[in-house]
Amino acid sequence: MGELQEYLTGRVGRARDMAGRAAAGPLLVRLGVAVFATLSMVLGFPGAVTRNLVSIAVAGVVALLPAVFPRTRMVGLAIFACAFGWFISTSATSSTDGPASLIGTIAYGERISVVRLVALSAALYLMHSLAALAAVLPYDAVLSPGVLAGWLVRAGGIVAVSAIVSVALMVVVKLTIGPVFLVASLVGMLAVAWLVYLIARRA
Amino acid sequence: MAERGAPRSHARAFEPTRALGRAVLVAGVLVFAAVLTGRFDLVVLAAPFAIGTAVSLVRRPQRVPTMEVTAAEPFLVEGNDLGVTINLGNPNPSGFDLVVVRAVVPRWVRLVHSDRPYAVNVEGGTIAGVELEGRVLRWGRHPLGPMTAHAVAADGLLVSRAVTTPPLPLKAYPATEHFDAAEVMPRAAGHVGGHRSRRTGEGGELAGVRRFGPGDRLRRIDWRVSLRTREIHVVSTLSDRDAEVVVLLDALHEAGRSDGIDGKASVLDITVRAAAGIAEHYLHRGDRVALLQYGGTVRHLRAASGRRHYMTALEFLLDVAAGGHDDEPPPSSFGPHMVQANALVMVLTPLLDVRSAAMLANLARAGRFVVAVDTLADPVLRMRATGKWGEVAQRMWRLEREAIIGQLREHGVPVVAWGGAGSLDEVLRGVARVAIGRTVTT
Repeated sequence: MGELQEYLTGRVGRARDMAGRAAAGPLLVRLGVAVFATLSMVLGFPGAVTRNLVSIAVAGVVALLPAVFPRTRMVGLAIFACAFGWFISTSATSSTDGPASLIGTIAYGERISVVRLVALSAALYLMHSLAALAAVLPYDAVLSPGVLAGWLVRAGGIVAVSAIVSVALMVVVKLTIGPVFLVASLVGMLAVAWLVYLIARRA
Repeated sequence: MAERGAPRSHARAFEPTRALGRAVLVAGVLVFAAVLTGRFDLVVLAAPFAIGTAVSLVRRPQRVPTMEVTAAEPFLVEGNDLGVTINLGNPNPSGFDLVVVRAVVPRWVRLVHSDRPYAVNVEGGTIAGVELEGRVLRWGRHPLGPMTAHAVAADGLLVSRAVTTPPLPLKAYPATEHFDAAEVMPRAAGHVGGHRSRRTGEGGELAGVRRFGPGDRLRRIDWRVSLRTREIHVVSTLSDRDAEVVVLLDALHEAGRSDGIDGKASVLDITVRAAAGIAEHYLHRGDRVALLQYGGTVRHLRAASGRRHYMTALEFLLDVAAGGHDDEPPPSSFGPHMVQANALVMVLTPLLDVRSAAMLANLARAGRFVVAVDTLADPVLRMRATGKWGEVAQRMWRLEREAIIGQLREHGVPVVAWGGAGSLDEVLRGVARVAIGRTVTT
């Protein structure tokens, strides 16, 4: 009991020291992570869920976790949570038996909006990118203004390019008469292969 | 073939961060889910992660940053402003997103941003500078560092191994407490110098008029007196001699709390600053000054004169540190034999230890001209009495110390509190009188 109390006192003291030493620049970055995580939650989960008070509280906590612990797996968890929210919000409701019925029971069947989809993908990437910055940036660091500006410009550029590519691909998919499943498979496999190649080459 | 047997280094310049793993995992899982479910919108969600990772890794650097630390001023005096520049170089064609620099800041160096890390971006093939500004608060050697830097590249997906530089040696000389003594030295020893000696010779100070004798120079004839007395008289002058001053620093104990140049001074602060002031004064007058440390390690700086010797004396003072409790130098390594017989010995001591009093008495018994300068200042003396008996104990300690000072005075060692300019004049006058007395006796 005494050890636990000592541990907790130590943690509280450390948190107080950190709060006292925290600098504006890193705090701004973490605030950005929290904002984009919240935005991702709002965009990802269906409207019926985000209007529920309990859900808002849970979403708030989940959104705060990447900002507070950017070096941990919390960022990945938040991204997957938002992606899962998007998946169930746009899945069609089903009453048939079988494996699809599990998703079908919690699906909301919302219409896929291109703007919302692109905004969600941008918010997810910005959360990931700012969390990567927060992870390498000490919480008490004196930040040169060029660091944050350069980082945001690069992240913004990637988001813009991705949005253009995504919209273009969606248009192609719409226009293509062939099955959507095949196009998604091909694009996905190509992207994964490219990534694996890049990682293998630098290793 | 010989190369095959050589050990292969696995230390890579850059290592992947958790963000790289996360980006690959998110992109892979979302694309896999898209393939499984036939949902193209999941590919759109994965697109920025895949594109961002690929674009970032394309411009990955290969070499770690370089770091060089320089100080604006090589010599500092305590209380002076400090300027240190950390130059961070990027030898790669692609830029670093940021370079994080950390420095271990010594206790007596105050930087504007204290010991916080600094994060700057460095473009490819350029050097970025980080300016550290602050003040040095106390004399001594203050190694700033070691400093470590690591670069972050590819949008936080890669981080370099740490680059470390050795500490930057900062030297802060003591701020000299102004000292001035008008009195003559007890015994001037050399052949030339600024002090009139007690012996007649070539000099500027008038000693008297006497009859002409063999060896007297014609230009010294006083014609007015010679005409009046009808016998040739010459003007005799006192020769100019230099003297040796030994500043002995008692570093057996440190007492009081030092707050640096802006706050309270400890015993060692007063000792070192007073020693610097005394050395500056006598060296400015052309005398030879030696420094001696008692307590801790016995250190000795031989007597010399001139500006250069002043700088050497300041360097000597930088390393003055209090010795431990049982750190008494053996008689063979410390004693009156280390001090020239004609030298004036100024012992800067807080008189907190009977060993200091014994050392003073030894020097006096050996016939040295000793002046004890009490460096235990009033603010140091002020103590907070703890408990019922605290005040009584403090009074007893004071009485004991006063008894030691009284005994020293009985041994012919004057004890005077350090007060800067002119504070030692009266005592020096007394020492000079003693020296004249001894000369007459011998």
